[in-house]
Amino acid sequence: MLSSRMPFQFETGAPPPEMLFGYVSVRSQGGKSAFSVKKLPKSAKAFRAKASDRQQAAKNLSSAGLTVVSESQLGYAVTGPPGAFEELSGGKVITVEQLMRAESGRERYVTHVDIVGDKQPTACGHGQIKSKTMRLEGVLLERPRMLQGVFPSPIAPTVEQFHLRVPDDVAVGMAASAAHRAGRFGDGVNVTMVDSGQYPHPFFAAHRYDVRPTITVVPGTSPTQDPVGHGTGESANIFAVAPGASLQAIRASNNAGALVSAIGGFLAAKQGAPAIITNSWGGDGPFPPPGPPDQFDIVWALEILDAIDNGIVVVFSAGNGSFTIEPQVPGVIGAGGAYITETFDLRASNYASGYQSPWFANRTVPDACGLVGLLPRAQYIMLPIPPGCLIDVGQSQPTPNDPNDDGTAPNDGWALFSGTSAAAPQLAGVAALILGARPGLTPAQVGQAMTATATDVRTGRCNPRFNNPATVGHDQATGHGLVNASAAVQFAIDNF
Amino acid sequence: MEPDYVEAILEWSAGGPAPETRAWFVQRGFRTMPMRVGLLISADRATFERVFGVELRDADPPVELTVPLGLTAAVASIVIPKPRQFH
Repeated sequence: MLSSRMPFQFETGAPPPEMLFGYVSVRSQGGKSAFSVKKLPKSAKAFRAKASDRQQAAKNLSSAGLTVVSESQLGYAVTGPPGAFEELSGGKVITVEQLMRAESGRERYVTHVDIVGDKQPTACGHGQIKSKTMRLEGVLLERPRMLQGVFPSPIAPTVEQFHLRVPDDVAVGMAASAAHRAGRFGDGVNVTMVDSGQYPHPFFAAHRYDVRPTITVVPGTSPTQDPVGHGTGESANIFAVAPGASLQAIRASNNAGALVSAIGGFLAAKQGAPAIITNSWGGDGPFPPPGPPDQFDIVWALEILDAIDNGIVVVFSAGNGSFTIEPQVPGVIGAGGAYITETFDLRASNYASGYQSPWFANRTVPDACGLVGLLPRAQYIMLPIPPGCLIDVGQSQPTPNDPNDDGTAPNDGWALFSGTSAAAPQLAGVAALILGARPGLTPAQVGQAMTATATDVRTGRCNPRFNNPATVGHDQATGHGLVNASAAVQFAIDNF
Repeated sequence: MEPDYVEAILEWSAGGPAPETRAWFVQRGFRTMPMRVGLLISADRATFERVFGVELRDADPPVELTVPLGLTAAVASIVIPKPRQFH
């Protein structure tokens, strides 16, 4: 039931959209207006309009400034600015907020448009026709409608094993809810994500997230496909923390899903001069390494440093047991893993890498953590992906190391997974909240706000390859601990 | 090396950067992106194999490619890096 303590409807005084959609009924040949009917008749035939009346009505609509989108024997679907609807109706177009059950079953206020004024009908969105000489009976403004029956579903399936859902559980785990209540959503902050691609999953549209058209860097690949599902799914972590952020996905995978142009993708991301670049990938090498970084690593690291020098916040995942240059680069925010249990206990994720950098003084990987599952497969966060993609199929089946599957179907567009690939976009979301509250902060200040306020993780160990324990205070398993988004934002407001 | 699309990092020597180097690769079907101390060159695997005279299908990166004659004054090295993986 909708909450009885909240008003069903109220006005905010906000201006209506620049373009509105509506429906206009043409005078019925049966002589009875569709707007006068109290009970739905068995047939609509009596409400059909004469061809001559429809032609005249079309002229009336055009004169008022409306454009016909489509037509039937009963009326016209039209679009136009609020002024055109006011011209037609003689009323005034306003916005009202109505409480309704919206996407993912959540109750929230949804903006409606209404026509008000002397002699205007009381039903929301209904307006009369100003001139009796027009062959029109009345006008209806479109009411917001929620996605239903779309595929894949924008609503995650229910599975038995303990897991987190996006956006709400991740927002709670990252302590972003307080920031959201304070109106901090990271509005308009550009987060660029270099990954496998971005499939237009209805989850993103249902939540009205701002996803820009994908840029591809591998010739012959589609900007609307993601053969792996990695980029699509992990990007939901950004919006869970920063629902107002603007996502620019850069597809660096080939048609088989292999990450063949990671560096090209990163360079393309830099060219766009975003506020934040988040990267959920990296290489691997022996640990401890046999020597200093090779020439390739140095040249590549210079590119990452250059991005930071240009004021871009750069986040890299720490790795899931891998050892690689990217999260070690000074100035990068290395994202590791912390795990919240069903009883809200906090421990280090044994899936995530954690070590003292052998290459750079005073650098520990990770700097701080996001939410990451546990070995063997870190099936922890229910994320939206292209139906039937590699992750959708893979996570729904057992493996030699894991007899359990994730409880989802192999082609339902949802899967349980995480890794430090989830932590990086979560921290990128926190960075977006911070920069939304304090535009212009340096990458170092953003990083300081996160690490100074992180929740210390004191139990558990990181990936067995490194086997470092989480201890009181800063440690090599979790860095400064699990990032507290709201505290980080407040730190930035108070100190910078 | 399974991928059909390859990227490699070209590092300038003391004689670089040289604009004609970029043009040299573009003329041969490569895409280039400027880097802080070099160029990122990328193309399909067949183009790399043809221009550098190597067989890459069974190669195990990192692969250091021989700098083509005529470019050695400005180019110190060209390396196909280890592949990056999703985390």
